[in-house]
Amino acid sequence: MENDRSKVQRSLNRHVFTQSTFNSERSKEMILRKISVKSKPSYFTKLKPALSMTVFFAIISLGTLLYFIDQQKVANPETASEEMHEQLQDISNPSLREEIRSSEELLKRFIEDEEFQRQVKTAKRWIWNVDELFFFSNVSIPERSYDIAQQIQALPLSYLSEEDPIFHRFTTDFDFRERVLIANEIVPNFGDFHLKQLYEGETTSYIVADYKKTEKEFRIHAHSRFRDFYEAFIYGGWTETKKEIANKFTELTSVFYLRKDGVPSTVDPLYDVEEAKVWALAATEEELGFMIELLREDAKQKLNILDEIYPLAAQTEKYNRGLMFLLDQAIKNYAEILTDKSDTINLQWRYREYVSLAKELLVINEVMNANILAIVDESEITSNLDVVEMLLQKKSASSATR
Amino acid sequence: MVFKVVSISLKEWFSTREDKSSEYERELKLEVLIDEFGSQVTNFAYTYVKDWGLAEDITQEVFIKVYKNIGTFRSEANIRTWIYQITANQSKDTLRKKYFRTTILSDFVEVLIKNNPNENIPEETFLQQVEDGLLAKCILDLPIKFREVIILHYYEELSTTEISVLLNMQLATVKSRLQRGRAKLKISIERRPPIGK
Repeated sequence: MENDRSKVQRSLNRHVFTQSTFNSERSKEMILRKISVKSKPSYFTKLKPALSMTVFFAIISLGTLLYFIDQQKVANPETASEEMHEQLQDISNPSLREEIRSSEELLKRFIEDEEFQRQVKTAKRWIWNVDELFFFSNVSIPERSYDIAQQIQALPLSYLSEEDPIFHRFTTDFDFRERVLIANEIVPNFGDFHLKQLYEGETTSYIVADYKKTEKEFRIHAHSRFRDFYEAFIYGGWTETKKEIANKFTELTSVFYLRKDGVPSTVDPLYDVEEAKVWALAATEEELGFMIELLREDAKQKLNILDEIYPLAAQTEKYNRGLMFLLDQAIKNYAEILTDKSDTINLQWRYREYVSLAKELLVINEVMNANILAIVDESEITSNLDVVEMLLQKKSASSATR
Repeated sequence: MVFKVVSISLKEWFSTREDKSSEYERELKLEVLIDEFGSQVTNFAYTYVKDWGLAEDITQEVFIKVYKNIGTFRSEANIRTWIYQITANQSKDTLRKKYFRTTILSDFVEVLIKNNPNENIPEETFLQQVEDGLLAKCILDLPIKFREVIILHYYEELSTTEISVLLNMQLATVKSRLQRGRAKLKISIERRPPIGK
């Protein structure tokens, strides 16, 4: 029997792709022409320095002129808003009026506020408000925020309030969003009740973060405790203290875990950590004694480094909350390793913790140097469709028992 | 005069560090890529925008981006996946533009009309063609998020893992969308009367 794949291929090949007008030679010619036009220095480029001065003086002159012509208006920046307000009054539909007003304001902000513009373009924001989402849907931005803007319109209207925790979670939690959207599609008369049920429903156990080595991309769960840290670190500017902390972390991670032969690894070793984890689980009893000594030695080294980082982190104002939390955890873990009396009983469990901590610190280290950040949830054991269906089954079961 | 390098694989060729290659070499690489993937890229872009003219414009933009970023391409990555990724993003960018939204072009009906089976072919083949046409239409009528995974999986034969990399989404989501896409496709095929009846 013909399989689905060849059927799809045949149907598209016969009925759609045969109409393609693509011509390889013509396209090459067009593409190379466009490339040469784009890369060729233009006449304007040569004149740019002279022109920029001219434009600068023209703007200054125009500004001065406007100032004297309409001092009131220039002096009062709210005049423009008032004009817009007057124009908006002519629109009878209140929701349309509000939509236009909000859109205009955001457009103004987009033009004037460089930081906002950057965030819109890179989608490096952790949360958006409702108006921003709609605005984002109309500008060219990465898929993620566009999708959210589109998807959010599927929510029951009563939850379109940015103060609502459900809305907050919808904009920040990829996993939850996907479930809501699935439920919205498959549940008849999807409404507030279902939304609440999904919100309160069980959550999967999230992994904290993952580092996709090949893509040089970080994937950090939206609810990760790294979020605050990353946000503050990235948006707070790059200071000497931060550099110092970053260096310390590099040092820390470079000796953070031990391979089977006891040799400290190099940085960038997530997959090696995985190997270490596997090994730790499979370790034989003879190796445990040796490992205990290595772990203790290693923990001592790290505690020394952490002791140096701790006061540095305390000096910083904005981002120290997340960092201090992590350092506290790290110190606690190392201290536990060092004071653990029951050497063999808990070692494997301890080692798992240890590896997990290593991962976190590796992530911190890389996050501080990362260019791309994606907030995703890699935790789904079952698909979201299964989760929604599971919740629905629970609901119908509970209704039946009543 | 067009030079083509076919004796070495694209992967080997692209493993050359870009900073060592000249502009001429970059253009040469680009031409090979256009020969190799141009048609596929246009077809893939069409599945998003459903307009051949726009699909060709997108193809041109895609290869301009490829040209600019050849230096950042990592030889260990899959060239095809990389180019498809750029195509998907470029197509979505096009879809996002306001002017496109207000004039959603659909020459698909015309395509189907042009492809209507003539009366001389045997009945079995005719039925098969009708079924094919209906399937193609239903696929292209799917919402984008389902359409793209269905096409990448069934037409381009990419694995779910490859799709998750290409579309920058988690594996479970890809699987979920495939599942839902199939379900939607089934419903939409069942609801539509066969073409020609």
